[in-house]
Amino acid sequence: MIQPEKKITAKNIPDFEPLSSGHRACQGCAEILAQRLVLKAIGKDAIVVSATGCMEVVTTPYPQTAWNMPWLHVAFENASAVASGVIGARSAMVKKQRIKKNSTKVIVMGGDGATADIGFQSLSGALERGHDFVYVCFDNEAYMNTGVQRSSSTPPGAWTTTSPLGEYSDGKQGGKKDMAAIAAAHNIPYVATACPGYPFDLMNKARKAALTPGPAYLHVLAPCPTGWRMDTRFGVRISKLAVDTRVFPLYEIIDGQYVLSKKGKKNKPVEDYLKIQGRFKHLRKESVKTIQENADKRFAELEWLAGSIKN
Amino acid sequence: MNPLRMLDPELPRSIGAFGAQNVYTEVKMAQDMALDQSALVWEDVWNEFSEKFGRRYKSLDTCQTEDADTIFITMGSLSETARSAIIEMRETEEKVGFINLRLWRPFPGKILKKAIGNAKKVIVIDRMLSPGSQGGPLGLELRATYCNEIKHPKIWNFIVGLGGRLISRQTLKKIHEDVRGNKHLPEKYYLYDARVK
Repeated sequence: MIQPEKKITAKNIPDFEPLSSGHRACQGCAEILAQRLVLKAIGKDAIVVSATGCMEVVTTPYPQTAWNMPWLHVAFENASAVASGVIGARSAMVKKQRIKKNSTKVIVMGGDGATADIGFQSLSGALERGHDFVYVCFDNEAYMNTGVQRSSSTPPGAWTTTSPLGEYSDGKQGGKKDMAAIAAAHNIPYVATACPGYPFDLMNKARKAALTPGPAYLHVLAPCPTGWRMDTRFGVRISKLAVDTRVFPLYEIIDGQYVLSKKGKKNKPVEDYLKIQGRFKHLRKESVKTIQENADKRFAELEWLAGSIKN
Repeated sequence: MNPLRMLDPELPRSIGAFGAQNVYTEVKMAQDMALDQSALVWEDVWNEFSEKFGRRYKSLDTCQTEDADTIFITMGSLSETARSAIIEMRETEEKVGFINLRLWRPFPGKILKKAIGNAKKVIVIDRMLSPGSQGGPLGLELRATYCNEIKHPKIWNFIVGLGGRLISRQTLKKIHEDVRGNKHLPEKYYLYDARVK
C-alpha cells in the first residue's frame, strides 16, 4: 500500500480541471461534482473509461465534449473489460517502444446500474484478473438517466418509477446490494467508500486508489436531486447526512483490513436523512425504524471488522 | 502504421460520444458509405494480405460454372463439401457448378451475377432462417440482386445444417435430384430434411 506523499487539504487542491463547464448535468447534480473531485485528485495523467449512464450522456453530447482527459465509452456492460483492453494495449505499446512510459492510470467510471447490475460480471472479471486500474462507482441509487428506474443499488423503501407506491407496492422491496463488500470479496488491495459531501476524504481516497498497484474500487454516493425528489441545493447536505446518519458509512479496506474513516461518527437519526427526500416521504414509522436498525447493525459490524469498538 | 486516434493524456480526445437522434442518421449514413466504398479497396487489401501471409482471399470462388446448368451457391465451411460433391456429380456428366461466396458486405451483386452467367437454375444453400421471413439471408440477397432483371435464373433456397446437422455430399446430391426431378418445384425456400409428423 503506497501512501500518497501529501494529503489533499483546502490549501493544496489541484488546479487541474478534468471537465469543462457547460456540460449538461442537472442542476444540483452531486455525481458530476464527485467525478470532478475524483479526477482532480488523480490528475491529468490518466485515461477515463466510462460506462453508459448519466455522466456519459451529459458530458459528451456529440459533437461536443466536456472532457479535458482522454475518454473512452463503449457500452453499458463492458467498461471494465474495455479498461482491461486499454491496459493490455498500453503495456504492449511499451514493449514495442511505441510509448515510453506507462505511468498513465486507467480510471473506469460507472453508475450503480453499470456497476451493480449490467457491468457486474465484467467488473468482477477485471478485479479477479488483477489489472492495475481504479473502478469508481458513482452510486445515485437508481437508473436516473433513463427516468428513475430501480437498480439493485436502490435502498429498501425508496420510491422509483418501477418500485411505485400503491396497493401492492410500498417502494423498493429487498435490500441494497453492497458493492463495496462484493469488490472486497475479490481480495483486491484497496476498496473505499466516499461521498462528495466530504470532498477531501473523497479526493484523498481517490488518490490512494490510483496509487495502489493492482485493482482498486471506490464506491461514491452521488445524490441525485432529480431522482431523489429533493431540492437541488441539498446535494452536498444530503451526502453529509448519509454519512452522519450511518446510512452510508465511510470506510476503507486496505489489503483486507477494514479502516473506518473519521467522518460519520456523529450518529444522527436516519430520519434526518430520509425526511428531506421525496422518494422516502411515504415511509411509515416502522419502516424508518427498520432502516435505523439496519444502519446501526451495519455500522456495528463495520466497527467490529475494523476492531475499533470504542464507546 | 500509426493509429488515427489514441488515448493520450497529452492530446485528450473523447471516443464513443453520445449521439442521439440529432446525428444518428448521419452516423449510419457514414457507415453505409464507408462500407460501400470499401468495394474500391478490398481487392488491393487482400492482395497486400496475400503478399504478407501467403493466403489469398477473393470475393467468391467458382468451380465449373462456365458451362453449368445448375449452380450451387454456398458460404463458409460448407464449400469444401460442395466442391467434392460437384466433382462427383460431374463424373456422371451432370452440368453442375458451384460458387462459394466469401464477401458478404458490401454484397457483391454484380460479381455474383457475372459468375452465375447464363445458368438456368441456382440452388442457394443457407444455414440459417429467421422465422417468418421469406428465405435464408443469402437466398434473399440473391433474389434482391435479380429483382429488376427480366432475364433471371430460377432460384431455390435450401436451408440445411441447422444446429450442426450433418451436411454430406449426399445431401447436396439429393437436393440436386429433387430440383431436377420436379420441373414444377416452386421457387421458394425449403427447410431441407425436416421431419414432419
